[in-house]
Amino acid sequence: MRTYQLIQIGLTFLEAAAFITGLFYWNKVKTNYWKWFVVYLGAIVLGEAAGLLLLYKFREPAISRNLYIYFIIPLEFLFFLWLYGRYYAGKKAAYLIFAAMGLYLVVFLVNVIFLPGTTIWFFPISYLLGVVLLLLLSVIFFLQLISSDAILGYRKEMMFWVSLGLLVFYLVSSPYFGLKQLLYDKYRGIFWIYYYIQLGCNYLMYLFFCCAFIWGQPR
Amino acid sequence: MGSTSLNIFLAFISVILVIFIVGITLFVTRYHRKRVQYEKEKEAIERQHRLDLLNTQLQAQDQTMQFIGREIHDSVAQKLTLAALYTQQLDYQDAYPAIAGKLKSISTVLNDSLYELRDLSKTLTDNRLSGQSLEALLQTECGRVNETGTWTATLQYDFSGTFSVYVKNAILRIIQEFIQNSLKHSGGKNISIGVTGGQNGLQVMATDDGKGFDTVHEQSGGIGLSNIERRIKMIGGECHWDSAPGKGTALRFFISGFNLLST
Repeated sequence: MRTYQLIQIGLTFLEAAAFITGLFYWNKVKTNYWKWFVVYLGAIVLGEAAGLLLLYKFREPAISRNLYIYFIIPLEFLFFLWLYGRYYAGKKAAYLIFAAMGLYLVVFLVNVIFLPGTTIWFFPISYLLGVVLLLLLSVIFFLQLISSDAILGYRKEMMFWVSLGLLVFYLVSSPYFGLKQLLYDKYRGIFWIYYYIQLGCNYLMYLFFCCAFIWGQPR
Repeated sequence: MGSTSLNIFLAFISVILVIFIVGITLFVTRYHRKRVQYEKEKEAIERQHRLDLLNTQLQAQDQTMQFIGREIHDSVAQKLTLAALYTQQLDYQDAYPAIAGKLKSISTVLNDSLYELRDLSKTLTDNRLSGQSLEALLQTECGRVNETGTWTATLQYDFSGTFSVYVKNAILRIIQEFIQNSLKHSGGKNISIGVTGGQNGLQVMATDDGKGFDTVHEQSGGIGLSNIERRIKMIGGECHWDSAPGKGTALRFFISGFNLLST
């Protein structure tokens, strides 16, 4: 097995570690909506493990790819949009976020049913929309955080760690997912450097999720 | 196509790097600023808390004094009056001629005690504060000093603003304490009190020409000096001692216009 494959499998173990951390701090989250974050991590671990098994054990790259396109990626976007919606519950922003969630769902279905393979700047339309929405929400979260007194207790803010993870991962990995085929074909050296960088950011994201459970206090 | 895509890719990476650098800088700067602001607010709350504690202590002290004063007047003084009356009656009836001299002495001691106790009671339950101006009250204090014959006290009053009864009370007590200290310990001859200022603030300067003390090496551990400092702090004033051996003592304190109205 090659190094990059081992690192990819290691990521699933880190995801499992984040899930176990969530279970360890279950008492902290069981009475509020953050319990669904633990459930989500469990689903991601199962999905990623199944994807890796299909890819490396059963040699079914097409099914593995479909698992990501139709299950894991939409689940990620929908869950985090929902999480932001719950975080801003009771405010106008929450309705906007839930509307954005509906929009994403519609675009995703249109994308996979009527316009398969349609891309904007090499990105599938629904993926681009999901990334833009999540980046927008995490940037807005940070702008609000730095302009309020909540910045003093940032460590205890669960959404801080989640937003930081999402910002680091999607900001760095989006260009990679958009251009990976091109980089692989024409600039193999850059491709591999960027592959490891985006994988590193993925590791960071799940480490930040662990921090959210360890230091965070749900509101 | 390939070169354009690579350019787009590089542009993406540059933008991401800039976003991260700007974001981290912004976060750290804001965090630091909020932290400093938070520390200042915390310090202000703690200072206010200490002042409130001092205030409460002094109020309790005043209430206790008032209580003791009333008790002396209403209970002890009444019983002593009765005792003095009985003694005078015995003396008048000439019931015990053998101890007539002693009875007279007892009667005199009882009357002196009564006089002193009434005087003490009057001092403790003094309620002339609210009725008189600070200038009049300080003038009375100077008058008392001048009555001794060995000391001279002068007052220069040039203050045009207003202050609360609470602040007036505190200033009077500070000056009384200063005068008491000068009379007891300084060994000088002259005391001078100056009150100046207006709506923006009040400055008090109290000096004596006594033996003074070394403000650097000597601890102002006496109850009198620490009482003065506590009272000044309590009304939000800034206190400054200026003294040296053989050079007399000067006390200066300033109370801002805002604090003059504190209650």
